Amino acid sequence: MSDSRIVFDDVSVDFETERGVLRVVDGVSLSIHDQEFICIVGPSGCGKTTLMNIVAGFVQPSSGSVTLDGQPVSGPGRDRGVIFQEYGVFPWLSVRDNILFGLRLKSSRVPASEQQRVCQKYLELMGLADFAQAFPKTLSGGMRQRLAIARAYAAQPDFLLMDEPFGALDAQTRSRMQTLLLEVLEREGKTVMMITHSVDEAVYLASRIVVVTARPARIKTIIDVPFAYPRREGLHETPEFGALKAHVRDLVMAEYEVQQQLGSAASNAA
Amino acid sequence: MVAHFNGPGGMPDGHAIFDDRLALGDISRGGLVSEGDWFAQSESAARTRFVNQIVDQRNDIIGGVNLKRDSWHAAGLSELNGQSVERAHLVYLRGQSTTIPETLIVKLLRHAALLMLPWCLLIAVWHAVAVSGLVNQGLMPTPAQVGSKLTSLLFGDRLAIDILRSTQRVTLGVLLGILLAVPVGFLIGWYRSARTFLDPLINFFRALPPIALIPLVVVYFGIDEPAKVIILFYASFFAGVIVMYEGVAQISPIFIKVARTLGASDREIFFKVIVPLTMPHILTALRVALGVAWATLVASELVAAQQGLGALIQSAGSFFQIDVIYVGIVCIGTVALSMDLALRALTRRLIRWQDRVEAQ
Repeated sequence: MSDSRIVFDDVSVDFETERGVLRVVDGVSLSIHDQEFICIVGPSGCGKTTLMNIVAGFVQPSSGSVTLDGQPVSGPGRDRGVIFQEYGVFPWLSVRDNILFGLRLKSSRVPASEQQRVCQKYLELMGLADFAQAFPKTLSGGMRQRLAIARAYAAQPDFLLMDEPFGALDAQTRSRMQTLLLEVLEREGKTVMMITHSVDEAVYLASRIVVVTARPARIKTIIDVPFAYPRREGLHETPEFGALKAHVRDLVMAEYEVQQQLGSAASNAA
Repeated sequence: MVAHFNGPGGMPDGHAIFDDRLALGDISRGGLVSEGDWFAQSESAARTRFVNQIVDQRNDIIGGVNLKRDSWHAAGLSELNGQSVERAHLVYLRGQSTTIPETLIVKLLRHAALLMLPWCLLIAVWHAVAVSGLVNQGLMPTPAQVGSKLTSLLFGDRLAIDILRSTQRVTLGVLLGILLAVPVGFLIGWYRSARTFLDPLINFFRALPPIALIPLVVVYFGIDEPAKVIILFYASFFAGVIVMYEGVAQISPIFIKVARTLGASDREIFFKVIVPLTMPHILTALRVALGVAWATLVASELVAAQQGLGALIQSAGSFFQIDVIYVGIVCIGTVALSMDLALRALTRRLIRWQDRVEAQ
């Protein structure tokens, strides 16, 4: 398709381990289109984070290729904003300086005269304006994650890659963060790839859900999520949402069982 | 108006309540609404009402607090009880957190009392032992005797120079030691493979007491100033290098990954990520090295030193001037403590961002 932006072409990844070569990703082909929100769901330990790490430039595929707008990925870069589960907020910088970090780098696309304005915009968008001078140690988990998102956004990436971004948050904060993310995406569209093990999160956020198998990760199925954006929390209460969620959960649970057996087989072997 | 600024830390924890205008969980934990209430309100409409209520309450709280400050500003007050308005505002916020308001003066007095208490105890015990007759009174001077000896020596021509010489040697030895320990410790900490080879070597040399090397140092470097500085350099380097590489090895790779995804070059990652992350470890290495260097001082001044606190103690020992030995010990402790306090103050300034575990 012409508007494909991230393309996985028959990607496999092998890791060298003490017990020999371990295949983590096996023959994944996937096209992510412009402005799509892709959620990758699968049992933990199946290799879905590796899929994101390839796009982010931290892992090289052993075979196959991943291209961004037709260019093969070569190392991490500022065109792809990455949000990690552990936030990675810089503790030695204030909230404001965290957001300015990417803007002040040589590779920044934002001219010096614009930096403060861009920073202020994301401070306000993420509800952090009152804490601009605070150090991260005084922030809660939800605020740190908002800061991580603000910082990634401020660098003006083309793609947003998220690895379990809300995994460490409590249920209520998590639900508010999901809605905030949807609101921000409505204002400034991005092509998003999110790794999650929460089926609920995937159905609520994604335009397409990619269900991956137990290790090695293959694409089990791709599900189009039919709900129109903008979405709000009320969506959770509709019967359609419940039905789709149950369907995806069944698919993931089946793989979860397989992954559990893999795990116990591995520990028996050891 | 309900305004809990919970948590013992005053302002920083005060943040926790505004924390997240979106994080209902946090607000409910903040004491505004119990968790039971939250789960009871499962219906969508009720939930919306609930959210609005929380946001209103939050605005009330922020509004109320800011009003107070704004009214102070409006009244043209630049100071309040001798504090800036901003500072008074913090105190006001802090006042919300404790049930019994505590003035700053009471707090300072209590702090000072706690600070003095162990010293007073130490001197009291020392005095008690000295006058009790448990120890031959000729062998143990009282604190008062040592105090008067200290004053008379300070006005004499020797003690001031001894303190100066020792401080110079320690400072020079530690600076040189750390100057080398920082890059070496950094490299060993950073490159895991280097650690495998160098770790045993460093631990071999670290285990050697510097005093055991004195005869060799005399052979190779003579008995002049360099010999003493070399011993202190040796002690500081091995103390510092361990602290450095353990610290650097613990730096989380996540920060470097994040910086790369934001577009940082290798050079930018070094200066903007690794240097700030290394700073606390450099300061800790400096503090540890200072401690070790003072401990090694007497040994290094054994190398036929004419001046220095170690030499003072040595010569006092040979002339059986027990009170002078005590004076030397008190001086070493005092100078070492002052340097440590200065370094700690510097640390606090340089790394305000660090999360420290502090028991209340």
